[in-house]
Amino acid sequence: MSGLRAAAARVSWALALCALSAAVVPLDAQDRDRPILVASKPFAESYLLAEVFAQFLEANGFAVERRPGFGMTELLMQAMIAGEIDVYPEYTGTGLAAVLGQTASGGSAAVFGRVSEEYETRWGIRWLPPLGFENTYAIAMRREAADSLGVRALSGLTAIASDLVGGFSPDFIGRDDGLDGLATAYGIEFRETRSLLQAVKYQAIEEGAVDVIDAYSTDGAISRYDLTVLADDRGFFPPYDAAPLASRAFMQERPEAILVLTRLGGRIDVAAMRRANERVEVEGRPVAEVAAELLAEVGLGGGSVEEASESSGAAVRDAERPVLSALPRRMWENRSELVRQVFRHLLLVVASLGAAMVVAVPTGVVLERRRALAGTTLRVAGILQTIPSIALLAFMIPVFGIGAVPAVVALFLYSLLPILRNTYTGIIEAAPNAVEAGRALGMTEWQLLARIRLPLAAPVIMAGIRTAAVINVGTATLAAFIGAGGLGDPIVAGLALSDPVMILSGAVPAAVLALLVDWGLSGAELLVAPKGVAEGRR
Amino acid sequence: MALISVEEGVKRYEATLALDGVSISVEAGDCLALVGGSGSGKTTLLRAINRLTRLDGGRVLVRGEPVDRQDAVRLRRSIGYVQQDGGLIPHWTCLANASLVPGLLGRPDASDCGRRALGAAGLEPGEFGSRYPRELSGGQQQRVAIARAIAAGPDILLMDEPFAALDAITRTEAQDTFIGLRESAGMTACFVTHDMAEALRVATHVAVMREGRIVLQVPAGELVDRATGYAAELLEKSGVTL
Repeated sequence: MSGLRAAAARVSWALALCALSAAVVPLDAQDRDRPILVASKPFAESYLLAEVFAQFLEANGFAVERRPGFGMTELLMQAMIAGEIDVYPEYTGTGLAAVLGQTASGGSAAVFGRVSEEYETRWGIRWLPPLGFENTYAIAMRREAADSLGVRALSGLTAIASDLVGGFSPDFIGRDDGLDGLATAYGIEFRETRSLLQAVKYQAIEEGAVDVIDAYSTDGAISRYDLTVLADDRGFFPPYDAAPLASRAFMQERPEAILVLTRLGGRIDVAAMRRANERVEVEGRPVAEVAAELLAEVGLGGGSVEEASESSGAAVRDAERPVLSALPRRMWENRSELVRQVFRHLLLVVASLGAAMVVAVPTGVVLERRRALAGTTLRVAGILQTIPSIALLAFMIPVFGIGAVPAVVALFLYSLLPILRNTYTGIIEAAPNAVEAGRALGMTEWQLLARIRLPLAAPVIMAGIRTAAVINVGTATLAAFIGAGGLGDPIVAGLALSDPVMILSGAVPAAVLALLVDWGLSGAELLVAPKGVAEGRR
Repeated sequence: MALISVEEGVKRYEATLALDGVSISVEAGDCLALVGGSGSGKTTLLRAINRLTRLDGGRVLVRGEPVDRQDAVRLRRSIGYVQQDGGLIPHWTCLANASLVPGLLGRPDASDCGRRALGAAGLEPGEFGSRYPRELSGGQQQRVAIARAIAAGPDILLMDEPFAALDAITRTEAQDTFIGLRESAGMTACFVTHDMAEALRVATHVAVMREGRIVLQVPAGELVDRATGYAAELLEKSGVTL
């Protein structure tokens, strides 16, 4: 057990450092020794490439902080511009169409030239040399369906699309170079279009729930699920060369690190990439391990594979085992990471809840004195509550950037209504007759509040805090989407890697945490309940 | 000298006139019953005396001084108050409730005052002091409320339908306790009731109110002889034979 205690001690140190660094980041953004922040999009290849960047930088003596599965293109761009991250893998075609809103003309070189120039002049963001492979969109069908329909190319879909159901990633549906552009270029109109996450897309097409999906040309799953890629016979998709994207600050402050990353240029070909993707997606092996192998295969490997996988704390994945028996083992193997995530999660919840209590309880008390304002105030808090969590988190990014701060602010806003409403009604409903009698006998308003109303309202206020806390534990898992960490991290990563064990290794502790918080605070409710009042007042 | 007097009191609640130029006066040691139906303004008038309600016109004098010129909190602490439902503080023991006003006044012997008051109100302090209000019957709760009102030894006591919620037997017992208490302490009292029989039984003077006005104000002994019209109607309703 001393090992565990040592691990816990390390974790608390790590947590303290983490909190400290979060607090001082804006101040020492110029610091040359700070770790390089490597981010990725939430899908396997992006994870792999980010891990390749990270390991290669580490092998060359740079400290790295990983933000895998950080977010989709728009989120990463905002974070890049804000200097929140240093580098992430991007594709030239995505930059051209989704970010710049331009249509492709010319080949790979022309597109790379265009995005390089535009990114540089607009934001000072630099496209580093392309890695050497292209990962274009691939529209795929089940092989047997494609064969029986006789479809080989996208133009073949035009006539029959009205009988087919399309399942596409939200990213693909929402962008100009995605579904809309494709539909226009080929005159395709599907009977129905579903928005599917990468994690469930292949299962959906295998089960026949959808007929056509968007995949990536380097996708390891294409062979695994026996899919046919339809040829882009009208040349709709622009070139999608993969390359590291470096932020302005990173360029200016760390030229040596930039130099290291340029050495990756042209080293990874499409075959190597597809193999690596297959190892992660099909064989279910850990990203860190596969990335180390990839580096070794292209002649850039340094340290041993074991060392690399150890350093990122990844566990060996066992795809053969049923989820339920694999879960405890995975959680045990990742215990130090898990403890860190739980602490981080609690930190988000406690900070937001604490701030909400400090604001909402006094406000609820004041509203009782100014009842004319109560309706409006409660309505505003109610509207905040109805904003979907993901949307609220997204609203925070332009104002507060990414990480723990915007997450805490969003969770704070969510906590306001339950606490505010319960404080207000608790105070109003606290024995109005006794309050009236107390006033008639010469108690001051302050005495009425402190000695009658607040003690009687305490269990009701506590119930509001409890509601807010349980909501926060759940909502905080979504905060991983904006880089706040916590138990959402394995959930987001697991969704991206189609790894149910990883998803559960975040979801199960989060559910347990919610139950524990609920149980603990229901105890607190009984504790604050004044004596002499009927039990079971809720 | 009049300990309580209201001169031409007017109170308006939006469109309705709750008090329409009311004048009363209560001499030291007297007990005035304000009798009337609901909406007659009797509770408003009672609450004007310790400034729970502010009048729109006229003035209220307590101990010869306008209440507007007195500190509301200090004024209220010097006047006992009992309301219909008791209004006991639910999470305080009966003794804590009874000791409220002496405590507010900062008296070191607050608990002793509370204990004495409970005893005077007919509750054994040792038995009832440590109980919470919800553990008591309605009649016992109302006795605690009376004990709380008199614990600091006020010279004035205001009561708003103090016995209305009690059953007939308990009510008579509580009335007798109150009569004894008031007479032995020489307290001046003003209380609201809708029951003429109760007014006759408990009060020294009776003021009959209707629609914000006093229609009759007489010593209790003269009521039966002088009651006409509405006052006579009320007497009849209360089962007092003329």
